[in-house]
Amino acid sequence: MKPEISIIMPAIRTDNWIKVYESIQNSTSRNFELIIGSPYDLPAELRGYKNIKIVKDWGSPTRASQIASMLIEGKYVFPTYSDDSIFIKNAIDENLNLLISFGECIKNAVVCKYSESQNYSAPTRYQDDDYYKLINAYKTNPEIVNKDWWIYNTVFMHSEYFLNMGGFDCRFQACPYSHADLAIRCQSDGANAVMSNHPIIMCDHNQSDHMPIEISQIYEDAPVFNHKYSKEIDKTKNKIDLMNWRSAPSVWKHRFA
Amino acid sequence: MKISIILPSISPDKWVNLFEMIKKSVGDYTFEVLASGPSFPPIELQKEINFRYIREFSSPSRSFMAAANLAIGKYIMWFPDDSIIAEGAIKQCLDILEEKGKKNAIISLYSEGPNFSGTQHLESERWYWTAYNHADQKLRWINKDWKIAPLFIYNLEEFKDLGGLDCSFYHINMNAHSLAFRFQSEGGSFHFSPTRVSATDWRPWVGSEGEVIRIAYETNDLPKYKKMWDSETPPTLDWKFDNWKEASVYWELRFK
Repeated sequence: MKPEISIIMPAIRTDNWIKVYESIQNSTSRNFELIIGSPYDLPAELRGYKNIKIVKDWGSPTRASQIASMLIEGKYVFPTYSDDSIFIKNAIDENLNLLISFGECIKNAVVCKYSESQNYSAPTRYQDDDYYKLINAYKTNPEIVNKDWWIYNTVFMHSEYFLNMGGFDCRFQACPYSHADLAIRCQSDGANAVMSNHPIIMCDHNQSDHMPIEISQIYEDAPVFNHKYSKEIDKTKNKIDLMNWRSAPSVWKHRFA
Repeated sequence: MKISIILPSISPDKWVNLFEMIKKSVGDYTFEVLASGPSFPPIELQKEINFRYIREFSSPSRSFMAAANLAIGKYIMWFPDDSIIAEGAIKQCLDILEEKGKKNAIISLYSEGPNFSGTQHLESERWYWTAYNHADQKLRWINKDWKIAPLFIYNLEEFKDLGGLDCSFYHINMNAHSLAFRFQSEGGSFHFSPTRVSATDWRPWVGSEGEVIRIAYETNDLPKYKKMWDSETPPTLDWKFDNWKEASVYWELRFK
């Protein structure tokens, strides 16, 4: 049976994957597929599950997500999910129900809140709605990026629209800026994003392996992003090539060099 | 990247040898191997950047196409995992294609037979590569001159435009014929590889694996193929490249 929802996960923390998978099972009663972009194999405990796809890749998290997204078969997609997080019980179903309730327009999207703490010490510590807006999260210029537009860090979308838009721009290496870029491209294309009342995940930010993310985010992705959105949004470039990952390095130097 | 080579395979223990043989066969051309199947590559291949992998529990055809979907070479070809690949042979094929346009493709000559006894690659056996010379190919809408290319090298762009393999077929055989016919009916030209590219120790329908293929052939692929090429009206050759997503993610015939 075909999955209804595809969850994309660029991943390196194999020790977490069982917990991740179980959290998805507890979060949805729907058919799902977990598509992992990773250089590493599944732990033995997960090898019996046929709804886990793996595509082997040594690239950046964005590149791994983008390649994985080419295997999407669900009608809906959660475009990137980090393996230092777990889904909240029933949250996938609650948010998908919300998305479905908006109708069939493929530009609809549901943006979800998430919590961040060390060792899940504050699992329900969510931010105010404003925190999840581009203007606050990425200090975008309100004269260029609408001040009411949401970030797409944790978003449910129609797969067809995600793929039509070309997914992520792999010039961004880490997920935050590639998600922000996707959010701007979609919302300037007329996407209807709504903030959900159902938080979706809890992140454990006690990971000792975040440094590559932070380096690329601060020193490489941010300048590209700020330059791209410093003057105007070029709507003719909202749709990008889904195969743009070919231009990204096949080995991500910050982690795998 | 010059060529993407697909290995739809359930036997990762064979991949190291295949990768080494492919390296020796492509010469100086850049290449990537995309293996697709249920098991992760062995340790020797995990750090090879141009050995890529996609986890699939589907039929050989869908497994092939899921991998082809991620291919980035200028050309695409494939091998069954029981192939012995000749040194320098892929390079010779690429030399030909590099001088021609995208409407050109290679019939990758192979031999198959028990204990590598096949002779299909020989000059005297060229009849083998024309569809109509085979009993199951004498069908109403199959042109008597059309060639077959069960193992092929196409320009990837052309391959995608032609819809790749039709994954309503399970085994990579009849759908490779349909693809070849579609290619030729749309003006494409085949060229024989200058030498035999690969050989297999093939014993039809032997062993549990052979039994699965036999069932696939007899219960699905051949009836579908006959319906397609032997009906009252000519077939509509309109399958799309992403048709693999319509095929089952789980091939029950093999992965019971």
